[in-house]
Amino acid sequence: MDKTVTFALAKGRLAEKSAELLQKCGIDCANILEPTRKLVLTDASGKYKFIFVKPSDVPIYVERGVADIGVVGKDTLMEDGADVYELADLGFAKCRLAVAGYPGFDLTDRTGLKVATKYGNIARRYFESKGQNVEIITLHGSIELGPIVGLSDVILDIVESGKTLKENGLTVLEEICDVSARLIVNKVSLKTKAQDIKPLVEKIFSALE
Amino acid sequence: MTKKFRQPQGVSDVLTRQCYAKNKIERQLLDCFARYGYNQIDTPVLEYGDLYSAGAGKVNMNKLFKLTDYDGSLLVLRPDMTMPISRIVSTKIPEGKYKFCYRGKMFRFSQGVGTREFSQVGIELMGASGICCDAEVVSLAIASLIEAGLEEFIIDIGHVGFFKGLLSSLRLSDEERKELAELVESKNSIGEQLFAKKTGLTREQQESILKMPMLFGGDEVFDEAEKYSVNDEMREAVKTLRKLDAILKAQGYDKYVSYDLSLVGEMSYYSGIVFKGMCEGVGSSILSGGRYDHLCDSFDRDIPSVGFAIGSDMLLLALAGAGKLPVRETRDVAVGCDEEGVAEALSFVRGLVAEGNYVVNLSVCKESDVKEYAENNGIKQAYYFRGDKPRCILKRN
Repeated sequence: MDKTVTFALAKGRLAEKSAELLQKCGIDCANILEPTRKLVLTDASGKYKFIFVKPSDVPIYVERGVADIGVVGKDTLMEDGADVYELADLGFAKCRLAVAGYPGFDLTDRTGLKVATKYGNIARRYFESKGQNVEIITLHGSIELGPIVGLSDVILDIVESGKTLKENGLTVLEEICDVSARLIVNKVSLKTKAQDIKPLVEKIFSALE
Repeated sequence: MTKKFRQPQGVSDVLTRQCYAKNKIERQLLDCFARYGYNQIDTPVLEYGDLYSAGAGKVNMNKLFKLTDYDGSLLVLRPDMTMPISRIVSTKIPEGKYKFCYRGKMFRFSQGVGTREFSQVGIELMGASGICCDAEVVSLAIASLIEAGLEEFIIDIGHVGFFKGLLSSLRLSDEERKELAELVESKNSIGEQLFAKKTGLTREQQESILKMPMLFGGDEVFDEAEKYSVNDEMREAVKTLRKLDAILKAQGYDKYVSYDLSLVGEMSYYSGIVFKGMCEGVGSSILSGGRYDHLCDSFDRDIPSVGFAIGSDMLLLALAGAGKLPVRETRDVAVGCDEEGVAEALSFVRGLVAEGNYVVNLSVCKESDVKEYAENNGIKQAYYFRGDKPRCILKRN
């Protein structure tokens, strides 16, 4: 029983890294690595289909079952939550979630702290768990601007090398957690396409070891 | 000018075509259950909040729609039918073995995009335990989906004893148990790795936890599950599934079943086998059920039970995907009349209906309107009354 298995991949670097991994598992990913504007690609055997979506949309494609498998950053999963199986830490796209601001800024001694972020849910949960009342300002990009132009006191964002922060005179004040790319699978697909997906997941596990 | 009207989130209207299909499927299922000896029962949509706030059937109150009664008591819209039926059996019915079926709307409060009102058709087999009842109910789940017209689906079966056995071998706080249950249910391997390290477990226990997510598939998982069983409770759970598998196989149901030892069950009241029905192309489960032996404990009754519910909206999606959605039959006859022919036309229609025809009465209109309507809607016969004289204006085979 051969069924098509559909992957939802985030465009860009995450897709390249995913392709490298899948290549190791015996899937021909040559055409993923070529530059193209196509949003749907199929491998040479026709058994695997790849759809390219915005990173933060990967979970919804997988949760709704239009894609069987997805590769997505842990930060996106934490922010939006998704009713999917989170089967493996793929180990790439590593970075940290952190609170950042001007060096020496005292986070503890503040009421009504203003936090600019694109991770509204993570921010709310994080500060709630610390028992701190904050005002969350949701932005969609250039988060670092928040403290610089006085929109917010601090930001909550992913930090990779810290270079962008440094160039804007900011620094990490508190680390929240490490994040990296995760392999997620639709709960129904894992069972209805078990013959195809289970061996693939096992191959991915051994490729990661 | 039409006025725009808002509708609450998570509820939807069902228009005629969809309504026809849904009603037909639900009645087919109820009829199937009735033929297997299950009697239909109905319960109020309103229950006291108390029913869901303690004991084995405890539900997160945030997930319920709540209202206040005139005396200040908390009322909720029922989130499922299992609890109300348990209430009835515990408080109104003498001891014995009972088979009930039901259909109705359930309500769950959710934020965001989720459905908040959904239809279920299901059964409960109460007052009986043992593998024979489990097998009977799982077989009925399969038979009813086939009866509804679904050909390709999977009933994925687990046993909560496997996970509970593992839990009882670990010394964990209630909070840690809850955390681990969530991790296992979502097959969160990474979380489990971190959990295993954090709580200082033995190597054997760690391996069992880490193996959990991949313990799914066909009957080959039983051997592996046994290998990772650390106590009798876990081994007993696997043994039960093996027996169940043998009974299902003997009926030729192999192709409809798979097993997953990490199924923990969404409802905390499950105590034995748990199962979910799934269909390719439908992102969430279409059927869910399991054994719940201790739900009636809160009413001081010991009534072991097993049951399942089919989500009719999900089943309809699955049927639509397979091109098996029931389509409303076309009407047989169209009738129209002029001002003087109204009474004659009405009694003519009554006669046709009594003969078993499906009739559209267009009442006062032009003859050409009736003919046009019939042609556009695939109706094979049409009559027009000028005064009291009927005239056949269309007849096709």
